[in-house]
Amino acid sequence: MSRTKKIVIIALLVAQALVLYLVERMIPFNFGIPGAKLGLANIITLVSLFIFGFKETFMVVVLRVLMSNLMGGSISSLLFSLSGGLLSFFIMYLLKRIGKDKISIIGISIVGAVFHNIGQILMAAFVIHNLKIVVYLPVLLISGVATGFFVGITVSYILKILKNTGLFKINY
Amino acid sequence: MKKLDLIIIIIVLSIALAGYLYIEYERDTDFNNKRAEIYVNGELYDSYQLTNDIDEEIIIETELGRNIIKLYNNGADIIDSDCPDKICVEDGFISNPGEMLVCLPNKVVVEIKGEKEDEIDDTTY
Repeated sequence: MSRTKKIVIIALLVAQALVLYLVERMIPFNFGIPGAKLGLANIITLVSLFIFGFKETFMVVVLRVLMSNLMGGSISSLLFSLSGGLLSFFIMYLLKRIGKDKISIIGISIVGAVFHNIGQILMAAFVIHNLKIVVYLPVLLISGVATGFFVGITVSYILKILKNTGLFKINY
Repeated sequence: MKKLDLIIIIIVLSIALAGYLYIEYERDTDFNNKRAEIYVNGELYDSYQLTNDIDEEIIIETELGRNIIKLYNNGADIIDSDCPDKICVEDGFISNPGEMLVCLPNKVVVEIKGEKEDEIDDTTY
């Protein structure tokens, strides 16, 4: 893939992630669980992980987090998004490399969602100097499985379509 | 869906269940007194004895932000906050020991604690 094409696609992915972030903010989904989110932006991280490698996806994640916080966040929410986003990205990357044929996108997506929540909870515990906040973790794990499952299904459809365009080499 | 996906789902759900059961198990039910402890930035800001007829509004104003906590009906509720997401306000009313309300942007935590005070019921000489 040429350098220019890479830059353009990274920019497109970041833009799409930002749109998903804005759409997600309009959906009142939390079932009374503080911190529970649909995690739609993870769709883009996963797509990027399958069409690019580590370096490019890392860039997509960092740019997405920085820019979405510019659009509606604060310094403290930047800390949470960054810790959750990066931890979940690292774990998904490792899982994809280790798991190879044994795991599908759905599994990777669920683990990503779960570790996104774990990263945020740990950062929250650090910020308020109170480890007791982990009492929220069990419900957040369950919501992570549910949202991760549907995000995974969405990504597998997207990759199927992207593969048919012949524009990308997708190893899925 | 592959086999490993299912295994992952089962592992995560069982960790969640174990965590939930552990929290339930650890929950202190042996108390005759409840306190609402308010922490700001990790430090104890104030502590109130909860009763059935308590009716108090506490305004916490720090450089991090402003929260209004209402104590009533043997419990606590954050009724207003200047933080952007208002999760703490949506969380509503809490009254069981171990429950907590958290306002992350303002670093405010309200925690209900149960405590057992040794009351002298009877004294014999």
